[in-house]
Amino acid sequence: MIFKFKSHLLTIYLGFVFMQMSCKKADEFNGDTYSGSKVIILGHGGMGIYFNAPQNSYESISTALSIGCDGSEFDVQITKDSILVAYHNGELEDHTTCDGKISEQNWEDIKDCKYTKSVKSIFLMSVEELFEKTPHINDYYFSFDCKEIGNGASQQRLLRAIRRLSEKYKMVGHIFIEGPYFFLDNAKSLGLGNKLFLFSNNDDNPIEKAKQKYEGISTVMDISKEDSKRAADNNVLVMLWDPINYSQNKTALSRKPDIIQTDDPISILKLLKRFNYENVTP
Amino acid sequence: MFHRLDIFMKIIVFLCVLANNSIGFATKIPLVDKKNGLKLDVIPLYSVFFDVRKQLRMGIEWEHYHSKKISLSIHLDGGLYDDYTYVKNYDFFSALGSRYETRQRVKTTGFHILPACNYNLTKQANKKIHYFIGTTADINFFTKRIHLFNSQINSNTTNNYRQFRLGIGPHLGCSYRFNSSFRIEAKSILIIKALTLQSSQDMKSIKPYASVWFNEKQSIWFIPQLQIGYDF
Repeated sequence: MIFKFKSHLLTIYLGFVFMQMSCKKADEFNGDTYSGSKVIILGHGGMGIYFNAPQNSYESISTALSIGCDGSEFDVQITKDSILVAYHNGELEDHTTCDGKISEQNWEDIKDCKYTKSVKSIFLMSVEELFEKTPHINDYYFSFDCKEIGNGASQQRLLRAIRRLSEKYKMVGHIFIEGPYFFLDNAKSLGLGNKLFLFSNNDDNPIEKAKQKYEGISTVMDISKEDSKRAADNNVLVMLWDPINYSQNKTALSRKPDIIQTDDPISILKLLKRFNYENVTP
Repeated sequence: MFHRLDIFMKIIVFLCVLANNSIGFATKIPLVDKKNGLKLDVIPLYSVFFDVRKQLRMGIEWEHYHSKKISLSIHLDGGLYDDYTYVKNYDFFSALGSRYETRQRVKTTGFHILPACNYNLTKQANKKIHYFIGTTADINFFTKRIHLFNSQINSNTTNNYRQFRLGIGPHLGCSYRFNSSFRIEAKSILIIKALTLQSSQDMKSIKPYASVWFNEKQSIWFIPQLQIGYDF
């Protein structure tokens, strides 16, 4: 009997030791950047790919803001009547109940398009709708990943719409634009005051290129600490995207970028003591 | 959150299976007359292991077996439920270098008292697994202290809140006996709010901390209990 009792205790004790080993508490991260500020945490399309509301939807983005994110990245497209819409894919039928391209339709025709993979009724969101509905919008930062940018004329139309929106809501310093160099050059020529981030894909030396023309680079996690430091030394901001879980969030923080877009905002906010437990929606 | 809780539950069940295997595969245990049971809730360990906020709480339960079918129990869960800091930064790119932060320190202490009446559904008393249903009341009281520091204006403000809440609801559970004394018990309780008293009408409702789920209005909450018990 005594032997059995001891064996139970030993099993439970070993179980707890195992749990402690596998669930080690988070190290201290202070979120400092090489440029001397604090890292900005943006949700990737809101709460990221694992959330129960689709990316780029109001439900996902507003939740990210309420739990403590400093803002959100989202994909931006423009309708025929120049309304900015948050949506990723080229075709509406990929994720919604509607068909066709956003650029070929007016906002009135697509505003009732419902996301198909969601249990709740979630509709397409215009960027202005997000700005209207969000209290203290000027406290947040948004990064526009512009999709379906098309040729020079349609790029200019998209950029003018971004400028109008930025100025209307006094968000020029709070809206970042990500894109390839030709798109950002167009933004420059139109005189947009937003911070411009050069996509670093397939570019040998994006820091050098950005240093001369743009405010920063937008890059995946393969940027090294040394490159991140070099960017800061050259007054180039680093926006890092791709972390999808706790471990990758830690790796991203160790690179000390200026901005992180993450698919797991909860764990990174907890690491930085920026998680707002008060506003958690069950 | 639920995913991690699920892992935690699986680890506990795995440990139980291990412990059971060390005893044997018998489905029945000898009948020994026990009048009382003392149980320790291991669910609070979930927060200790998986979250960055501090918690120092404990759940214990005393059960009296009135007859083979009916028992009365009282569960006490109390301690420090929440101790965390929430930092929010503003003006990251201010040209004048005037980035500032608000730093909110939140501390919540309190207790839940859960008296319950249980009805045993298993006919044979010497079975290893017993299923039971019943009714539970949740009487909980919390005090919450929020200290806010704003680095822009270098100001400190502190607010204290108190909240009393009463709810009642059904429960369903099962217990697994390792032998005539030791057992593990899992119970799910659904509580529906009956009364809330708050020190300030402006305060945000303090969520029921012993629960893992609550609806937005905090009028319904779900309490899981996983307890290791000793009968005597």
